[in-house]
Amino acid sequence: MRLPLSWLRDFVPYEGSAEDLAVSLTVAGLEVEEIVRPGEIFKGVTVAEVLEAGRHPDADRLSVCSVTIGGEPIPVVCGAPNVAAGQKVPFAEVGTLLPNGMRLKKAKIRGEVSMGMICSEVELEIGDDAAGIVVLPEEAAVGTSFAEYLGIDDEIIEIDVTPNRPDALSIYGLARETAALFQLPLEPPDFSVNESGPAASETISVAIEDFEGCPRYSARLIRNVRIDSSPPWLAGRLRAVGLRPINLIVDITNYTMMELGQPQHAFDLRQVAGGSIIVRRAREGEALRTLDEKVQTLDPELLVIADPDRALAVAGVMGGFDSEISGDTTDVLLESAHFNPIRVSIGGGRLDLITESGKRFERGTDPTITGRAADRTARLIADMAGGEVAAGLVEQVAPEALEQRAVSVRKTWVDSLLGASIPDDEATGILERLGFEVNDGAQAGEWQVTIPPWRPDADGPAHVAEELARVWGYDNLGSDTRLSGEAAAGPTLRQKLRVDIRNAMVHFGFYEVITDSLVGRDAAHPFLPGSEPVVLANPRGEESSELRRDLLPGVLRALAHNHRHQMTDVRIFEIGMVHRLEGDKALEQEWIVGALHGSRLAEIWDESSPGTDWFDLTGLMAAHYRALRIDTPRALPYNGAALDASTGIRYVDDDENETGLAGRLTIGFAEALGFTKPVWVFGFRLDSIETGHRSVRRYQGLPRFPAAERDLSLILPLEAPVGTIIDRLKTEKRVEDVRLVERYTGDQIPADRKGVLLSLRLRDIGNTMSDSDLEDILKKLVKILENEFGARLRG
Amino acid sequence: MSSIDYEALAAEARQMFESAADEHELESARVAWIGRKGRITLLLRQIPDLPADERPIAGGTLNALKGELAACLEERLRNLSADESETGADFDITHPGRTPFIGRLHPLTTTLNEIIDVFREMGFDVAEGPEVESEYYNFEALNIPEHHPARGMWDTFWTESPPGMVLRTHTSPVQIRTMEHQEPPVRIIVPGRCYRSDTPDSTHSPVFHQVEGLYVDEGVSMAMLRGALDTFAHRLFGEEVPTRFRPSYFPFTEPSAELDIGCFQCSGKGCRLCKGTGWIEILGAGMVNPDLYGFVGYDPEKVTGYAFGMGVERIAMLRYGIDDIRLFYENDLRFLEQF
Repeated sequence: MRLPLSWLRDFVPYEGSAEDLAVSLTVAGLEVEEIVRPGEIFKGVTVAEVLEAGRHPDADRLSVCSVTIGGEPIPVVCGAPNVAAGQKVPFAEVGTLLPNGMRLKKAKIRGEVSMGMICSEVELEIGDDAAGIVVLPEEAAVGTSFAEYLGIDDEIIEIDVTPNRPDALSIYGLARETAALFQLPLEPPDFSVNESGPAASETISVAIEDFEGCPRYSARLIRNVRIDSSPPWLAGRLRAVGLRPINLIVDITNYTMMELGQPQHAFDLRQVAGGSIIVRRAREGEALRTLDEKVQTLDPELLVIADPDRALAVAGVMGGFDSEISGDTTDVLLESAHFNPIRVSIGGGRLDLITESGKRFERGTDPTITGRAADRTARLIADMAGGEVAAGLVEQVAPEALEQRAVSVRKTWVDSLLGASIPDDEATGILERLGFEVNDGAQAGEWQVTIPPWRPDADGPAHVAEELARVWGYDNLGSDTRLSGEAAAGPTLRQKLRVDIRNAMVHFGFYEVITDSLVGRDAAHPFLPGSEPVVLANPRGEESSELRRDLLPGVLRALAHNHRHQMTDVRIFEIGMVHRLEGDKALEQEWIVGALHGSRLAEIWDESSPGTDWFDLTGLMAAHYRALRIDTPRALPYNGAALDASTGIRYVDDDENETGLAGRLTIGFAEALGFTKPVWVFGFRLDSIETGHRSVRRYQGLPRFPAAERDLSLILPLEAPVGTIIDRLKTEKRVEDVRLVERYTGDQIPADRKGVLLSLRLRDIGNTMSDSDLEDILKKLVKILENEFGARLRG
Repeated sequence: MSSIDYEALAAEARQMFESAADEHELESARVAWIGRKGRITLLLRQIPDLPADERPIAGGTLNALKGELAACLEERLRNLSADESETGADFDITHPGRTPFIGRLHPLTTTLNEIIDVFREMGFDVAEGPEVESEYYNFEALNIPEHHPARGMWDTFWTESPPGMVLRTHTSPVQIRTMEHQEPPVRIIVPGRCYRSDTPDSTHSPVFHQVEGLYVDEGVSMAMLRGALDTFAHRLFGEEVPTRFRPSYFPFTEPSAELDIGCFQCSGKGCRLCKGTGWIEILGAGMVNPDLYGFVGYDPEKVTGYAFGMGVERIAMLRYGIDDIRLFYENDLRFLEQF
């Protein structure tokens, strides 16, 4: 809402600065976005009179003039052919910065002093004519600023009005607020009207069929109007609040709407059959050509204004094209109604129209003002368009719409809610200035507060508290920093798990990424093939039409972004929710997904092939599980499409449910994303590791007897599973740890075998083992390996 | 054999071991002298052919020499490897090492953690809820019925499958979900991902993160809300930062408020960041609208509560001086490594 201060001052004698008003309105809940001064660009430009204009002695095309802006004559050299003595002109003084960017200096032009400039349209940027100076009408007053002459010498406060304050969508409403805040008197508009001629009810009638949709409809008849364009002051005020002048009648209805907050509509009486207004629901399929010349197909959800023959307007939203005021309109039927906000909201939604009228009705207008608003509009029409206002208001009203609303409020409750005590007399003063009435309630300490009809949002004691607090000043309520209440329960298992995973990943050198969860239909979701997505009904575009089923696409997009920007040695991860359809429900699951690309270390200079490989990935997974103190889950070969068959792993739980994945992206997939080196990825479900994680661990006594280190050099079939062998050995008594030290193939051993060197740490918790003990254990282990894995000791 | 000059032999061998410049030359020396076909090894093998009286001397001398050379070899090997890595001629204290990757948390996570820390210390628990939400929890139970003008405050994504759900426009639904199954006192903060169909620009992202707070108990006041928010603002933006509490409107709170902090760029004088006002809005808040208690079965006569909500991106942008929200979702490492 734009509030021109000159208009505000019609109703309240506010003499302070725009800045002070802006701060006061803002801290009272009407947030000011901007203060606009449209005339500021003409600073230094004044209406002047040309006193003399004579030929320059040394230049044919120049004139030596003298002008006055009320004081001493000012010499100025002018190059325009149309300058002449007696003209009223816009004159810019020395020092002025013109709208076109020119800064005026004192000058001597071919020997003649020039102390400013008589301006052309182009210099003022008000038109295209550069040939001559602007010549103003005779009546322009010498010495007034050019901005004032144009009627734009104003300050306009732009307010972001919240949906609960329809009363602030009017100049008068804002004047009431200003009067309340600054304790100034409020001057109401002039609602008086002179009536003449036969009673309006002889010509027009109103019948409301849907009182729920339209509790009140007031109409007036104005005869013999003249259709003209609006006078400059009216057009100027409309422009100042952001409206485009159309014609005098329409402009006046818009003017009173902006002034009072009550939208009105003017019908050409000739187009209202029988002068009969009917307010009803639209019929199924009924057509109406609206003012914007679109033909709308209506339905019974919509409320219309109709005559006996057809719909004339969509109530509160937009009028019909056929019944609008035209150049030859003589008699005007003026509508000033109260509509149900929901009905108007449905109408605006169906027509996909946000109009100034709809905006106000949707938020709720004052049902008591319709008649007075019609009076004021009719009066202004009569004053400016020469019409005669027919006697009497024609209206129908549902009496309950005009009933006063009141709430019971205990002041002690308000004080405890606010945590502050506003003195009673201050409190009643604030409420009364805002238009509330305060009376003693049924019980002691209770107030009966009557809600003003322009505050449809106010409905309970909390609201009354808000009104008191905002005028009293939120900053005066105090700040209570004492803590009380029960202790917090603390983080959940999942919340702790997330912290631990993030810490582990950061320790392993991974950057955390956060990616968009809206993806396109063709986004790959390789980790969860066969799932159905959650699809949006109203996406912003194809690229963001569904929720991600898999974190991998976002992680790969981040990896590819960095790759394109020459950052190729990258390790990233994301923790987040993925969604998929399960029956008719959206199933939400939390995953971590990571990717590795490029070098094995951030900086490395002495290794011939430093690129990340499969063993880095599986080692990382093992370390990660170890960091979280959970057993690495069982790994099975991956057989989906996303991961390379020779590297893909599925981690599964005891019931063979998939809990995670790891491997290399297939070459084709990686290349499609612009990668030439292998891209290693992994992911797992957080719920798969949630249980057991962070359980309190019991201390294990440190061993008191020494361990012995023994190596086993084995020849194994190529396909023998080394990890399984290690795990198998660890299940044996006294085998404390087994590590792979070396793995080799080549000339020394047969082509279908591989050599592995395992380092074993053996310990007996109750003894120091003798050489023969150790030999016995090793013999036994070798036997196991021979039997179960086809191993033999290397000679 | 008695012609062997053990002294010369020993000198020659020592010289070769000591002058070896690297491991390779040492290995050559080892092979030449004490390897399987080395000179000393061969000499030792020939001892049985010597006259009986010479054998002990030859054996003793050669074995001693062999032992000496083996010791020499070992020492030289130790020195050589030390030379190479630490004290050799090419020792370079500025030489880059082998550097592991370092990782970092995303600035939104770091910011969220700091926000959570502040409120955890005030006794709040962290509650969570689903991103795909029902219209009931996202709007109706928050006092925003259909056709309510306030619905226009949120550009909402609706789902086609499953039909008729929304992507939550705020984390406020978790207020209702929590109050439904927990009697007062309730003191929670709710972080999470939210969605609004805003046109992406430097300050809008259709996907963003919010932290919501709720405290309902007997005697919870607006001054306590201000106190909690002041504490928060001072922890995140500095002890000295001024705050301003200003009326606003949200359907689920009444009275409603917004908290501003003094513009740290211009110290309140007015600049582009604060649009000339000297103040920057950081969050919305208010006293829980008593209407909400009707949805969850609380007695509005007995309890009062406050709620607040803030955008994590906005807080992070203000704290770090980030001028484009899209940077958070682009994940450029040159951006991420700065936090």
